[in-house]
Amino acid sequence: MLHLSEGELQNCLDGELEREDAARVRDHLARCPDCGQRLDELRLAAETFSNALLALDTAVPVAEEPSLAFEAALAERGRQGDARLSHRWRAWGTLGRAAALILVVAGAAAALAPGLPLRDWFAGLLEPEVPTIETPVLEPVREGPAAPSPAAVSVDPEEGRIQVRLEGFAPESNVHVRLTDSPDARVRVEGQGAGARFVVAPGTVKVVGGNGGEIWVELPRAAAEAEVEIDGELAVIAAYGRLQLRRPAADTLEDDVVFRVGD
Amino acid sequence: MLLRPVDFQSAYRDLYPSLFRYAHRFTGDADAAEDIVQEAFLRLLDQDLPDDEVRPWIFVVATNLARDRARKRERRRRLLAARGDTRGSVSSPYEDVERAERVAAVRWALEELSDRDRQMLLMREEGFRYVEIAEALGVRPTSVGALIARALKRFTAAYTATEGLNAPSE
Repeated sequence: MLHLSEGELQNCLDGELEREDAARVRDHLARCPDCGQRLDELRLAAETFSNALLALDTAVPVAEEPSLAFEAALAERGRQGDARLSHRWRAWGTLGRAAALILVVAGAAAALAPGLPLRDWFAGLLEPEVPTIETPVLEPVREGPAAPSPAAVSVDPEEGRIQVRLEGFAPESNVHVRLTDSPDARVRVEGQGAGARFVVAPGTVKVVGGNGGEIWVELPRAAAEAEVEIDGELAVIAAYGRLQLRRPAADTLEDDVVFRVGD
Repeated sequence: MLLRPVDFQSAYRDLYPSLFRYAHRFTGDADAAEDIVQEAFLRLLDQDLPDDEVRPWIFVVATNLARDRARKRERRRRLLAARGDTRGSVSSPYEDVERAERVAAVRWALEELSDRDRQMLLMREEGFRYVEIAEALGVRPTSVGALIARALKRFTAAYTATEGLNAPSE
């Protein structure tokens, strides 16, 4: 009898099974004491975790009245001298009204005289919509371009830090990590895994692999801190110009370490 | 569409307790958690987000802020350690020794997890669905169950190991 996977059991515990799977899993659990026991173990682990967290909890500070919090946040933003928000509100003030008046006049002129270059200028002026707000530095990781993924990507440190996360590469793939004098970090995938997907955010690059291959990670020696995670586990960090292992390596040379996925 | 005050207010009212609890569990520091939550809400002011994306977005921002703090703290700890300065490792301020030991054990076990595992388990505790966790972590929703199961086992192993250390000697 084929047993349930750990994922199916956890999905079952958390009520995340699809309807068609739920019946199959329930049937299996009714017949299989082994899987029933594994489910109990997962339930116990989840309860242990929840109960343990209670030891950390302190009383939640009384939140400010939301309207006061909003005012405070606006004031804080003003103190930071950040115009990102304020220009949204102020841009349509006096300056905005003046600009609108110019646009109306220019638009009318262009409409009346289609042959004039003013018409093109006016059309170009209208192309951008409203001013966009600068994206915050820290935001959820954004997806890379929809175009076919490159076989390599580089990313600059963010405040001196770099994080490289490698996920989903087939067992036996080799991850080579080395320090370089380049100011940026580079990740290159060769072999069968060349179709790997790259996701880049400030100071971070995530590579989701496919069929395996050779992955080359070059970390800038000058970075204040750089780290490489393989399938969620920290493999190596670079600090003070040296590599420091956080999991066993398959091979170690000076400034060059090889990890084997699945080891 | 910019979040208008009414949206900010309702987000603040709805999310503050949960976000604070999450940040506190993530950092182990109530003051840091409060700062993180305030900064996260401050950043929310700049966002154009549909209502249903506010919660996952702000938790990811809080996670990034918490990581950022942790890295700075770690760097400071290393520098102090290199200088032979032990001010970074002051003992727990809790008067209740037993509670302090338990807190330390939980914190230690949490820190044994990777950032991803910690984020995943804490988001699960706050009631996020797998699809939201997957979005926040950049993994496939179908992988989340297995990843959670493994992370729970890692936490339990680390945590129960500390119980052995804390057990009174016969």
